[in-house]
Amino acid sequence: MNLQKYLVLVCFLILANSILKAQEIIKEDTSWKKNYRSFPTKENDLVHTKLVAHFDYTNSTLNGEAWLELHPHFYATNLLKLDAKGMDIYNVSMVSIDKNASVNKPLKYTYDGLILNIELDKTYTATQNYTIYIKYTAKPNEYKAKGSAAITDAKGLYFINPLGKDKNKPTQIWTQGETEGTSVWIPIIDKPNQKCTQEFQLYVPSKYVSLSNGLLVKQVPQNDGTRLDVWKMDQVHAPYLFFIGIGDYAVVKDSYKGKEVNYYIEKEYEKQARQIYGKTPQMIALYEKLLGVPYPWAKYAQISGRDYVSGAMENTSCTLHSDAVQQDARELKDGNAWEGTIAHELFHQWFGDLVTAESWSNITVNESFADYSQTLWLENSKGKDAGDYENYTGLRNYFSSPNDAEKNLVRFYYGEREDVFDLVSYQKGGRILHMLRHFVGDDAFFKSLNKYLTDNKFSNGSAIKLKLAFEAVTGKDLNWFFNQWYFGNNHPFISITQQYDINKKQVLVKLNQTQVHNKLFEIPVGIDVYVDGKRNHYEVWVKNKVDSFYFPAAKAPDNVNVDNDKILLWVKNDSKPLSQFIYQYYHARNFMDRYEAVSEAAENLKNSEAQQLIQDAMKDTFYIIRGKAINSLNPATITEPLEKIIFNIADKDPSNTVREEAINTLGALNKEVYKDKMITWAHDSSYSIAGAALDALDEIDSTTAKQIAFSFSKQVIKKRLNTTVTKLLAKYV
Amino acid sequence: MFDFIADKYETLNIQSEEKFQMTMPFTKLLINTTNEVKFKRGIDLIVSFRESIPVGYRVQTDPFFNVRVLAEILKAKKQLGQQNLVNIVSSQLPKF
Repeated sequence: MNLQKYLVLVCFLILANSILKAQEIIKEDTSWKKNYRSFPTKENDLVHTKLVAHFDYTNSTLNGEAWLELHPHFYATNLLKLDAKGMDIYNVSMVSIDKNASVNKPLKYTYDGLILNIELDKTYTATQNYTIYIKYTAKPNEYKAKGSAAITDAKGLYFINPLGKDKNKPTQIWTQGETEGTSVWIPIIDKPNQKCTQEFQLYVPSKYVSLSNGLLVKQVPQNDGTRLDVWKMDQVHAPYLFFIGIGDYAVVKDSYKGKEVNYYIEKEYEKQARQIYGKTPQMIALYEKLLGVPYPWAKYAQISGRDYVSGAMENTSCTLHSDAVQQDARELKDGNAWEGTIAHELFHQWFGDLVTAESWSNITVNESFADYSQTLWLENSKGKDAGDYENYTGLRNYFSSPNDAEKNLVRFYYGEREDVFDLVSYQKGGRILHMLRHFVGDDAFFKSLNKYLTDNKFSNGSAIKLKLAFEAVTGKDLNWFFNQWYFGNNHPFISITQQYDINKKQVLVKLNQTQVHNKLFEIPVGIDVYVDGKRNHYEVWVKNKVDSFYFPAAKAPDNVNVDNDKILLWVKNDSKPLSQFIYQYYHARNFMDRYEAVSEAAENLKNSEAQQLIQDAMKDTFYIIRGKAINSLNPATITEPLEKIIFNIADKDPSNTVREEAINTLGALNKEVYKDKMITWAHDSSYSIAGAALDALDEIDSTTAKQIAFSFSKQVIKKRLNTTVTKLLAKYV
Repeated sequence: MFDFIADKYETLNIQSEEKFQMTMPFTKLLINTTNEVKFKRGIDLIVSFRESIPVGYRVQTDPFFNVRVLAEILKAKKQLGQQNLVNIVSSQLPKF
């Protein structure tokens, strides 16, 4: 499940709220610390699920018949417990194995609205399969599902605008299983450590298309305006990954190695389908290559749902996205905002769907990999800087929520099961994988992932199994790593100081672990010491409260670059002088080296070398650095030559993000000379450029800005332009 | 114009950054709004947005809505002496 959009918004709000903390008392609920969560006990194992479903749009209900094939897990039993939330149950019976028998045998059961306890007709052993038949009605709107951390509610089956009363919204049906919502619409053992094959026979309005797991094997028109769509899934997967989607979609077809890769998109956005989803086959190819495991399922499809309760969900072979995935041509001028999510959900087809976390406690073995897949995709498709920036963003987001730091990555104590879908399981987990990759090396990292996937395919995984895979491949004991990062909490805070001894011709680098939580971390650290333009690299281990390292240096170092590859999950305070940061920018080996240097220079704009660095960074090869450099300028101190450079960037930079920053800066100058250009830019096809220019124009000539805002308000506009227009309308109404 | 902006605000996806960013301009609009019916609709839209966020994130998002948005509107309405509007917004603020 991708909550990235929520998480990013939360980070945005955390920053916005930072000054508010003292004003509002927030009581943190710590009761979760007492709730031990074991993995679900397996009494019976699902083998196969067959569903015949009729959808009642008038009452928003599903009339279903389910056949569940199971067998006892290990111990013989005559009892079966199924999750079935808020249903009407009409019939529970044992399907006769005698083909001549005309009727199923009714079974005794009790039902409390949540659990269906069934007494089987006899005691079965683990080698004896049996099939249960259940006739029922699922009533998702009557089931009072509790909202959760991850999703706005959990009623499993959603009828969107079922009667078509809202003319601005299409009629759709979609399901959301994770964490345990599938059992709102089909009686099932709704636990992540169950896996089965499935066959769904769906009676859908003939004007709509349907989507489910596996392949569409049959379509039969009916006489009542419906059509029978039969979807078969011949490989086992977990119940929370079951999916049904029905609606009026265009189906744009693509393929990968002969498998269908389809994009279900509302017809209004059909022309943009390939721009939005079109990189999917390339992503599959990349992930197959890195993992050495072929894409596991018979097809891959992506669909969007209106009023979706989360960001996106990796249902096996058919991902459901929020309708925010659907972007118009103008939005796409600023890039595909959903590309990372598309990569994330796709990677789940291996990590989550093929190998599934054995319990919600271990959700990070699904989510940290999906999170990290975004780095892998960017690094391979847009270059190392883009991958590094994605990593940095994840790290920053995790740090933005300090209260989360006390949670273990793998946690057996939590409140609600949805609580584990947080910045720790995703962003921190992703950065831990990045460290692990660095420590063991790329070859070992991907070989270990291959082993983990191969050993546990169509089954369950956990952090323990991941550790075993890495240890088997590398031959190294990794307890030190997993104990502190997977089964522990927090992260180090490091203070870095250095001192040059001219007599001994050596530099002392001191790393002090300053965290208040008293837990000391054991971390291998790479350090580059630059002397006379030459780089010397050292590998050291930080283990103690204070560790001191001495490195030879014939002269005072040009730069001491601690964590030279910028992979460590720590908060550091490096007290080195500005001159070393400046040197670092011009001798940078990665994105973060440059980013740190620009940040430091921005704090020292009175220094001429820092000013020069900022100017040079405005020509950096990576757009984020250029944007940051422009953003760091103080409009009051911008010289005429610098202003010309900023104007050229605003006019011609290949990145709209950078152009937007430059227009913001020019706008802050409030100069009449830019009025005409701002009017031109306000009509740019990019919402970012147009919005920034209209904001800037409001500073220069509010009357003209107001007129343009009124004219734009009659058009379909989105994103920053929409915000700006609304702001101006609200201001001048 | 109020309804035009309110309609826009209402229809934005709750997961979009745009909706968060539009909340402040919308707040300014509400500060300038004296029509009780329109004002109540605007407050309801903001509260509905606040409530639509999954509970796990509310500890982080509620301060934005309560302090930056609703309390600011309340303060402005008190200063303007618009008691009927004060009552509407104060009913949506948490009591400590």
